[in-house]
Amino acid sequence: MACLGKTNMDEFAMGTTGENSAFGSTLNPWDPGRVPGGSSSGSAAAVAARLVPAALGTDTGGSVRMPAAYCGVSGIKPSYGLVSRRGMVAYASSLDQAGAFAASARDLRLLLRAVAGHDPQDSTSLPQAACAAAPLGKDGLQGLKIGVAPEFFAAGVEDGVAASVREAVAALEQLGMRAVEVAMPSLAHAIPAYYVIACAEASSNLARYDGLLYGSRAAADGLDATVARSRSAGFGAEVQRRIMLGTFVLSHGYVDAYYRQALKVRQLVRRDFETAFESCDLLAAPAAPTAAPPLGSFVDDPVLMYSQDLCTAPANLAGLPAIALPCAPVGGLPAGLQLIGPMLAENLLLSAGEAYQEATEHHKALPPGCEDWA
Amino acid sequence: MKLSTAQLRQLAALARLELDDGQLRALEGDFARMMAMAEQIQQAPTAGLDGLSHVHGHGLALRADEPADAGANLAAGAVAHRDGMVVVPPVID
Repeated sequence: MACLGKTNMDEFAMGTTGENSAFGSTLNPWDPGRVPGGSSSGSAAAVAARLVPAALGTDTGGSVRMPAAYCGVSGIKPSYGLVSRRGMVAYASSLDQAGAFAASARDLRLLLRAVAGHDPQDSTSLPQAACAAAPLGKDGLQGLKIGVAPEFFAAGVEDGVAASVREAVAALEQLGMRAVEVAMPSLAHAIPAYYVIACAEASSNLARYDGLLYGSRAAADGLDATVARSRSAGFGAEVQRRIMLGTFVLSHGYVDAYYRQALKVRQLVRRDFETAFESCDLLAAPAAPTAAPPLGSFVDDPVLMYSQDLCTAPANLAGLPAIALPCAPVGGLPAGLQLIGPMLAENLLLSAGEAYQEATEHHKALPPGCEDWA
Repeated sequence: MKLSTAQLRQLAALARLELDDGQLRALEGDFARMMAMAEQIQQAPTAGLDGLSHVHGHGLALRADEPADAGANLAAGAVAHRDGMVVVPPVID
């Protein structure tokens, strides 16, 4: 595999829109006045514009699936532990996972096969990690049950996106699968739990950036002052906000009420998924609650930006694999269907995605002025 | 919970960040909204549940207790290395 280059992204993978980069915002190839989604913004935009056939990204709370949805490409967040995290800068270690973008689910499978596998140098790498199974094909998908949880279509999900995703579920039913309703009551608490855990882990992971042995240095008078000035000069505003929140929720007197409570909510979310998968084979949901918003939509309200992760972060909390696939556009902009599977069900997700894309054309739509490889 | 500028200054010190009064005032509103979001987890029905800190439930991965030369791997991951040693900038100028 030949690597063509590095792409822009949100600083330390912290961002939903792609605007938190020291190099400036990545632009959405569909409309340069709109965000491409983050944090792996450049990877998604490069695949959407067909600058590259495929790209890697990381997904801690949706950073592959969100930009895939906004840019109209396919993206997968594998099961936690399927792909080695060695070489990645740690953001939230219990949630971080490497993922992939491509123009189709079939191409995603090729890239995932190349990068999946056990790595003894990543302590979280699964011993059985591999992705070599053959596609299930249409026959193998007959009768599979697709769970649809109303909580994934709750407030915040635009009507147009909800309709597009439901249309995609209907298309899967046409292929022989069957939709069933399931309940995921804990999803209402998933976003705050995700941000408490992610920020706590970030505040710990990024403590190494002290300007002495790690990170750039901004000299000041004395050791402590040099460390503080280096960190303030080197971290952008969003990273500083998350470090501050993470420091608070881990601090004496608050750790039980926030961090440990968030870990219990995480258990709730995992149990909801386990219960759901007792009555279905995979779950269908929006990948992003809206189409790509205009640049600057969340500048004055980071919490509003965080709320965009409501459909993606739950799979990270439970460590589950999830794939984003372009579905019917909304207002001329891409929308994303998300399929979530049980642990290590990548082949099921990719096979369903391949079947969906054989039956539909949404993944073939190109941004204005872009040409396909063929 | 809303933190005052003084409390935010103390928190910044714990986080080893140097924020001036203007930055702290600017952070006040954002942090209040972030705290309001974080507080929502108090409403979740978690009585009797254990926390889930890691989805695979295992602790640190162990390897065979055998001596190994870590030098090559260490050098490969270092920003700079020389003669098998990691080169670091001076800590005290």
